Amino acid sequence: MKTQHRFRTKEAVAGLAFLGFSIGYLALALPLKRGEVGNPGPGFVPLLIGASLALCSVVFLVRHTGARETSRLSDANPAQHGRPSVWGIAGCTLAYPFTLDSVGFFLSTAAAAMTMLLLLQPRRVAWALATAVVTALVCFLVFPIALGVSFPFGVADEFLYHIVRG
Amino acid sequence: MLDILPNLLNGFATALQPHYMLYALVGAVLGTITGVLPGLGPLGAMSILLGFTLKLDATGALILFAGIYYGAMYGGSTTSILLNIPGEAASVVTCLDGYCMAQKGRAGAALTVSAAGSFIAGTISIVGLMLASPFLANIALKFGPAEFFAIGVFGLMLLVRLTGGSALQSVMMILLGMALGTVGMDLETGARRFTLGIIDLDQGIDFLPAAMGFFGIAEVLACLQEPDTGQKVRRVRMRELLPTRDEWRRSFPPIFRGSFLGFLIGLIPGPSPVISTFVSYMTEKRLSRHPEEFGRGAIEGVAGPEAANNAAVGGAYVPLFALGIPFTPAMAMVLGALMLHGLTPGPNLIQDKPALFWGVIASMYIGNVALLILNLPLVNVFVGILRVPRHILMPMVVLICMIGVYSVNSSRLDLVALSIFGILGLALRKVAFSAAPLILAMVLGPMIETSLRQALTITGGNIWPVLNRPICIGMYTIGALSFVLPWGIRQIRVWARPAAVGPKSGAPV
Repeated sequence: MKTQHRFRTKEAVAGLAFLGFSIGYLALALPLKRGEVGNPGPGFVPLLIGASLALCSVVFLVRHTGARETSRLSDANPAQHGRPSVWGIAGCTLAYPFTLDSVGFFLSTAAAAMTMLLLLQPRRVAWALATAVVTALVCFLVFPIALGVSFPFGVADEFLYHIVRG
Repeated sequence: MLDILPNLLNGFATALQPHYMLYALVGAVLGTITGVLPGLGPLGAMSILLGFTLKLDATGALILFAGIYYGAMYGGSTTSILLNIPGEAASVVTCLDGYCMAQKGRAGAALTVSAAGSFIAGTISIVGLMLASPFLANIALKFGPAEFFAIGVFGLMLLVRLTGGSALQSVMMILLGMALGTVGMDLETGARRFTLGIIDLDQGIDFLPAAMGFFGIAEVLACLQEPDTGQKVRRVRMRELLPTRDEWRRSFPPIFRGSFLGFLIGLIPGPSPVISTFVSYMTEKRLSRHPEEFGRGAIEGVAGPEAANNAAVGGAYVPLFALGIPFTPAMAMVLGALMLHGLTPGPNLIQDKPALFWGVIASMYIGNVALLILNLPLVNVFVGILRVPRHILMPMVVLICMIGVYSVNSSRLDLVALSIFGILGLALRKVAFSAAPLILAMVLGPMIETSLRQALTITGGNIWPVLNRPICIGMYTIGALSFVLPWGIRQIRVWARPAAVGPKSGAPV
């Protein structure tokens, strides 16, 4: 019964998220110039999309609000396995752009790699540190140096750049 | 038609240049590796490498992607046969008989038939692509906005039916994708739409972070949520690789049937390699004199589907090259690579850039030969990749995704978008929403909007001439039938069921 409840909640949250998005999208589309059918403006198609999405979201919500237990329930039981690491890695991807600008490519890449490795293998700190440093170094040599990709440089990057380029 | 041979020879002159051969080889190897790794399919590999193709020219980028796509189809079958783990969705069917063959000690034969079938199918589909694309492109030159609008709508209509799961959920994802596609500056009027005052969003939401987020990051996060089974990897000896004469005899007809079926299915929108394997498997089972062997190690059940999924890859290139419209997410990636190089695929591309088109065609031949040579002797090496612990592999994939996205535009916004789309992709998977319709709608949406607005302006707001052109009528009819027919068949079955069950069960009416 608990599983059934969780499944419905997920569907309801998804339906509400879609509905919320479509309402927000419609609210932003309304001020745009709609034009006429013979000369459609920039708001013409977005209004159609927003209205259709809102309608579909309502249908989806109605369909799932009164839904009975289905065979999908057994599949929908989410394994608790790896949940902290999943959210941790998702957090790493979100934090990476901000650390990139503040500490530069090498340190931010090493920090992201180490965090992700530790999330998946929490007990092996020294191993994670070594792997992260080697990974960041390889990435530094391949991307900014060999391929010439432009990344923000920090102190560590400047230091490494001088060593590599003499 | 007479131009094909000289053009193909010119294509070989392009593709046989050492650096292009290297790209074909690298693509084939990378594709095989991603095909072997469960979860990370050709889409993941293409999305990860999309940013790095900026360093190559357009021909090189396309050759690399073609190699990845073909290689992933080859690689996926290896784990299906040896471990009962489909490396990617198109190899699911191969598990049914391939793994049973492996358990009977015929893994090598299954792998060889799969590789040979893939090679033959790849070659047949390339011939089809070569013949069909210029022909279709000539027709497409006469298309106006109404036809392009119809093709876009037709593509999305078929996609709703073919992606599996609920049609309503597919429609919602398509609408969400179209909504994301409208973000940015309107090209006709210059009006800013849904940019929330963020100047970087004037250019719109880039396709790359969306694709990498939904397919790359979400895939990794989803993989991490599943327990690591740590399945033992079986070694294949070289002498086991040769099929018997009877196995060859039984394999060739399914390979040829699968090739033609796969190519035709590749022309329609949706996950064509996956669908083609199921259609081929069912066809072989119906045609077989021993249908009872299917699911217990029938070699036809490996040969047909493996040929079909490779042929579907070639078929999927036809609408992209001829019409400029990607009908599969992987083709949307190829479109993204072309657009990164300032090229717009479509009917004019084959005429304007013959070296690129024919070079890519020729490289597909080379890639196929390379795969045949590589795949069998190195089968143990590729399977050995599965021994790399997941806790090392997955963080590396995430890092490459992040670096890849940043390297295209050096934009922090792209990285934030990557994270958001990755988390969104994972959340949508939990409620069985497929990301493929969203990604395709993001690509097709702007084309549909532009075509509709142009068509309505031309006709002065009269919708009828937009709908009643012959090609448009055909497209809408087929699209509508794809909805009505399954519903009709379901209804007939529902009506027929009580009549069939009632008297037998003796249940009171």
